[in-house]
Amino acid sequence: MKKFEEDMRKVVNNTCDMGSLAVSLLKDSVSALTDDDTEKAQSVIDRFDRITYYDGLIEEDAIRILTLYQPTAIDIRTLSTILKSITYMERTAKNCKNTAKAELILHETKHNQIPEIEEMGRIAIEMIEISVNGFRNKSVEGFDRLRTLDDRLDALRNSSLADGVAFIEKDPQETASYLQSITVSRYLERIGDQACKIAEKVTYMVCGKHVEIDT
Amino acid sequence: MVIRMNEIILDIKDVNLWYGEKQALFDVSMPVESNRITALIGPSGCGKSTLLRSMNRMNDLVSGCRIEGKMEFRGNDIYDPSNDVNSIRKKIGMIFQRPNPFPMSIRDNITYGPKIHGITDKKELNEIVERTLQQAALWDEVGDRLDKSALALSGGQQQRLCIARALSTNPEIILMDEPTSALDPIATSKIEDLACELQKDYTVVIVTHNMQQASRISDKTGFMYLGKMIEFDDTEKIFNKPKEETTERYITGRFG
Repeated sequence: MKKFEEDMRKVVNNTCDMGSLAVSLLKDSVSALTDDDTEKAQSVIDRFDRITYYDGLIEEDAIRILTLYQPTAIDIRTLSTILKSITYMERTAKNCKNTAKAELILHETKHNQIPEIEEMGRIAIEMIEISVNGFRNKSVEGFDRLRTLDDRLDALRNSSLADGVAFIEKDPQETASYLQSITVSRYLERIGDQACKIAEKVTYMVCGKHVEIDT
Repeated sequence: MVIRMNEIILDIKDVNLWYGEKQALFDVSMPVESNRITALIGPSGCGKSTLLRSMNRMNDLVSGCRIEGKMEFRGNDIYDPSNDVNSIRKKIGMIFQRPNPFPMSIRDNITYGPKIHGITDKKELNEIVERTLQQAALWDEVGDRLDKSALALSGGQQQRLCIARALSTNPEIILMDEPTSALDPIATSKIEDLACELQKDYTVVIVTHNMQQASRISDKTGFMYLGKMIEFDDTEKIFNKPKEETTERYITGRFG
């Protein structure tokens, strides 16, 4: 039992660390973009490998625990939440890496940016923090805000598309730059969805209920 | 998974049981649904075997044992003094922890009960032997040596023979008291498959220390502790999201 507790603690802690890293990559990729900071963008790209490492390690550990101990109740709910959430966290981090790559490209241009990106970044960060904290604290606190935030993110994504097209029509020379910005808005919108998916799994872990937050 | 509610074949309500001065069961209630496997789990001494044995009045054999409350088999009180114990045990058979075949041939083990209940026709007895051995998934292994001693069979085969013997009197409920604890994993798996197969025609109540076994084969699970039924629900709920903290601590191994 002690060994089981220890193995569970380790896999839960690693998942918390992976979540924290994903939050950190998101914050850095958004600020790299808004501050035109290529050094920070490069650091996001470099740190993505750590996410890949956690993804493999946690999956392996979780499967080993399932095989050896046949856990039940809160333990099986925690493990199934972990196995799903690490995929969403990995996808979040991948979107951060792509945002950082976009910054490196934008840096070589006039760094034109669609105005919605800043608010979208703030919302995506808040959403991922709510979900990752929920896992860490085994709590659904703040989850009721996620749907509203996600709706706002989707609306901003739509208006960023319209704005982006308008900017391109006005200044076709800067098409490449605006296209990057439009793509980043897509990354941030996806991160919002991934935050909702993590929160759905955390709700299952905590309450034993399947809910739909990302609609 | 949605589990449909079946008819309640055995209704246990507010049962209290004493061994002399010592109370072993406290206000235990449990509806046993027909054609379902109901598992009883809990730590040693929690009362699960006592409860199981009270379902066909096996506790009558324990001196100083006293029971109060309601235990109705198809609406008929099992403990009504006018009921014949043998006819109750004919309808509610029991399988024990260690296989206990009689020291006689395979065939005689099975025909023993029917003969006691007055069946003498050889053809009918042979039919019972084949039917019950088929049902107990043992016919293919012993069909050609029915007159050999039952004691020459392996432990797993002996246990399946005991199940065949229990089936020979056409019971409606089979009570199993840790039926696989003395068996290896392969024999255990055969008994588990058999229990699942039997639920088409019979109702099974099983006491087990093996929680994976309860979760693998049962539809309903009761968790008992200190003589009380702490929680009784669909097996999936008990093992995924139990309502009671005591149940959660027990099934996740964080007990004591």
